[in-house]
Amino acid sequence: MPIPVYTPRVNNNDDVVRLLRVTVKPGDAVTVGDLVAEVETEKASFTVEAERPGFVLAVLPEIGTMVEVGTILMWLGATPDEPIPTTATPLITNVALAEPTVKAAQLLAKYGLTASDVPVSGARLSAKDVDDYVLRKGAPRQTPSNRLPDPGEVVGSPSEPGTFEELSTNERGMLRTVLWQRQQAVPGYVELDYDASVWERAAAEYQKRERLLLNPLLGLMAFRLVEIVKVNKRLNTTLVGERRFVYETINVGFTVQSDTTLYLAVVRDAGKMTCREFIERLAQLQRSAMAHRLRPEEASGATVAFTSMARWNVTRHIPVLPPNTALTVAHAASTSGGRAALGATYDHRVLTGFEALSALAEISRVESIDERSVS
Amino acid sequence: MSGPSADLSDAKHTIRNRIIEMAERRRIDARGLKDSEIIPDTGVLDSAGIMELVIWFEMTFAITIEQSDLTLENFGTIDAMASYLQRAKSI
Repeated sequence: MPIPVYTPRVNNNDDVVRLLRVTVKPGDAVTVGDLVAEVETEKASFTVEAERPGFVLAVLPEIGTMVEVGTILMWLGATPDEPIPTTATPLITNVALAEPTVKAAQLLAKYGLTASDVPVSGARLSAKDVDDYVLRKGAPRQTPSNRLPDPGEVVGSPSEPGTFEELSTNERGMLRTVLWQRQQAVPGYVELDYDASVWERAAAEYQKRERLLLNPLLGLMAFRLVEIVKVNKRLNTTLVGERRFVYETINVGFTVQSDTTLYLAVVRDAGKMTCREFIERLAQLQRSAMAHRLRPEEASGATVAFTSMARWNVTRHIPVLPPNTALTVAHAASTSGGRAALGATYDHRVLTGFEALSALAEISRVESIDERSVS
Repeated sequence: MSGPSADLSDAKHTIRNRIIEMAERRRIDARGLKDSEIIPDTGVLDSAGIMELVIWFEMTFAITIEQSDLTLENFGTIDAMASYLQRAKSI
């Protein structure tokens, strides 16, 4: 009995494909896996292979024509002279309508496919159809919902056409600052309203007393974060596999924007510094970053982070988390009433929103900066 | 006019123009800034702006500033910056 070769579906959105070429002619013998035709859409092409051994009896559409997915592309027969059916063999006019068997459905789930992805050889989508598809095409890149992507695995490639452009060195640096997030963290965000004017006054007094050129407000607040992390080590962690990884040192990442580049300057081992040492080291790093002179070790290894967009009068922003950190504190500009939003992005795999909020509450209380810190 | 005093005056003029230009980016008018005014106190530049000014200062006048020199006494005013430059370059 002649066997039809159906027009495959190339993607979910195209119900017709162009018959690009046919590599066989009537009378040719084919075996399983032989290339018999190639079809294309505007986005992709797809080879059609023989799924049964036999002889090509006829090729129905003209090369170059648009062919409806699921219609018969060609007939194969057990002998070269087998007659082609003239009565209507049930045509699968829409692959998506072909109901998968139970086993096929399990395989579709396993491979992260949908029924409409796989060409159907019969009335129903069979396990063999799925297996054959995967053998031909390989396992799809689409990530099944029950599998974690591997580190470095590209997830969600663009589906729309475009071109690639190389990044500049500075842009690559910024990319490394944020690239990891899609792979690892489960970010949440919390914020609280606080009286920023108290902090601003305290910083002004500190600046005057210490005769500092630069306003130490952000440094003082970041150092307060260090003190809190020293007590609550859960804030200084990340997740590796299914285990919490607690850092031995407190390395504070601090965002510095220079021109159009964002850097994360890292004050290493901040837990062992005095407040003044911390502020001086931070100023050094800010200067290096703004001059695009940060060394690699000065721009990596953050275990917790602090960022501010107050200089642009931004009153609320939700920051990204630096690589392998669980907490980034976001400082913002105060309003005319002296109040401001203090926010935090946290990795919900290792911290709760309450823990992040508690840390913010402690940072917001200027009176909690004791003499040891301020003097 | 030429000589050290002219060079000092030119340096102050250049520094002032730069500060005005940077302040404008924050929509602040710094044209009234006096040479003796303490820049951090005026609010025309924030800390990041002052740091940016220092980096510009190094590049423009081709000098290297030690981190320990970044003090209010050396860079707090236009006068102070010009004096620092004078000492650094022995104008």
